[in-house]
Amino acid sequence: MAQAARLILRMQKELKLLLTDPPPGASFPQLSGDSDICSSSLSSIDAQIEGPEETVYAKGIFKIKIHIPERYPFQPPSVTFATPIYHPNIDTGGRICLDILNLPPKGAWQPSLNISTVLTSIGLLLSEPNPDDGLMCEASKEYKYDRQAFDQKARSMTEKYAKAGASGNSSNQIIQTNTNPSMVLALN
Amino acid sequence: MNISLECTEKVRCREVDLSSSFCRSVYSEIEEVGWEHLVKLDHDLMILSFRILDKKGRAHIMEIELEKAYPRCPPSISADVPYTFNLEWSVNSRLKHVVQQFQEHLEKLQEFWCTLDNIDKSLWVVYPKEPSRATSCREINLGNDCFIMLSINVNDPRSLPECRFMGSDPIVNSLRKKWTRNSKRWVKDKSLVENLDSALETSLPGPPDVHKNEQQVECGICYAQFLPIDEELGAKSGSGTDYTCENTSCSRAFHSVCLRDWLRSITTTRQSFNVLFGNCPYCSDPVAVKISDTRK
Repeated sequence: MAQAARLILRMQKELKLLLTDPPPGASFPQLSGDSDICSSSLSSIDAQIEGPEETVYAKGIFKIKIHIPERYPFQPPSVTFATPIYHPNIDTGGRICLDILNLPPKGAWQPSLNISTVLTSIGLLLSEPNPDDGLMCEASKEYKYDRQAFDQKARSMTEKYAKAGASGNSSNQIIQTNTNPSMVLALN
Repeated sequence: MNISLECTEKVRCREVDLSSSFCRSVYSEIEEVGWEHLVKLDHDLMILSFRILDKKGRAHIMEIELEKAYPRCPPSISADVPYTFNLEWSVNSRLKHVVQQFQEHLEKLQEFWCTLDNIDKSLWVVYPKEPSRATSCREINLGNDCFIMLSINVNDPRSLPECRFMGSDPIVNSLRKKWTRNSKRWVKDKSLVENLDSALETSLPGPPDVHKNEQQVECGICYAQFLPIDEELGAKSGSGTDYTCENTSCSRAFHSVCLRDWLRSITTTRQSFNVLFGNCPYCSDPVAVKISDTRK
């Protein structure tokens, strides 16, 4: 199929770009290491991004799941947080409310964007939540009218789920320790 | 009172007389050159411009400024030439003599301009962007971020030019070595471009238009230069980018197939007959792609 062949070409370039010039604060423990990337793993990518400094998410490491649809880049990637996070635009299932993750006219996805720019945008969303377009009613209200309560809840969530003990060892361990609580939360 | 008035009146009459005779003589002198050559004439006839073609058909503009005492004192001349000529002038000289001498001067410069035209045509000149006929310098891109500044000898354009290299030290040093080693073998019966090639022991890159096609060829949507080889794409299988955004500050290249597939993915695209109208994914300027009749 022509689309599949075209998708593989683009994904190979994108992954190379992600490894050589990763977006700020992002890393790909699953990709790094082995240089030859088999095409079977192209449809889903695990990323992790550091919580931006001087925010309530600072020092947290958030695991992100990126699923590449068959029609990519004519369709946006679907991106979710695997690590629970308290954020006005990210719900308990990890779904992210970000315009570039939807097709126009509702959203702003363009094939000129790529995984790297999407992760950069998510990093910016952590620094600058958008409570006027909130997915989480409660968190949005708090963020706007009771910032102290919001900050406290977000910090404790970061502490609880996004930090791998006091001595954050290898990145692989971080993922493993974080997978379980998120599963539990999703079930709830 | 009356006397003084009469006096000024007389002076003015004489001035008018003088100026009308001045006009008549200038007009007749222009006539001799040919009105078709005149491109500018200011209202008091003091500044005239003539357009003169040389033997190779290059157009040159010569501006002549007449003095108040013309034709007793010679006019001054300016033109886009590397150096001007000494005007030979006598009381009997006329504008046609100026033009004649200018043409003779142009003849002397033919070899110089041929050399420079050849450089501009076959090499990648980075400076000056739009060289005037007077400049004898050219900065040429040698590739690898190295440049050579040549200044061509006006009177002996095919001789070894003065030069200066610019770029990273190791490359420039090796170029300089080649230049000094090969400069003895510079021969005047070869063109300057040929001599340059052999002096630097390479084939110098051509003008950037040729290069543009080689760069910026990856499709902004599939990130590849060539489409995959696939029956489904029909004639487009394996082809390179064939659409460029018309916005000159964007100029992104695409495969029309990829752009069409994107425009079909979104509901804001408009279709009229077999043309899809949408926006460039990079700069949002309008784009239009024909739906080719490859099978779906």
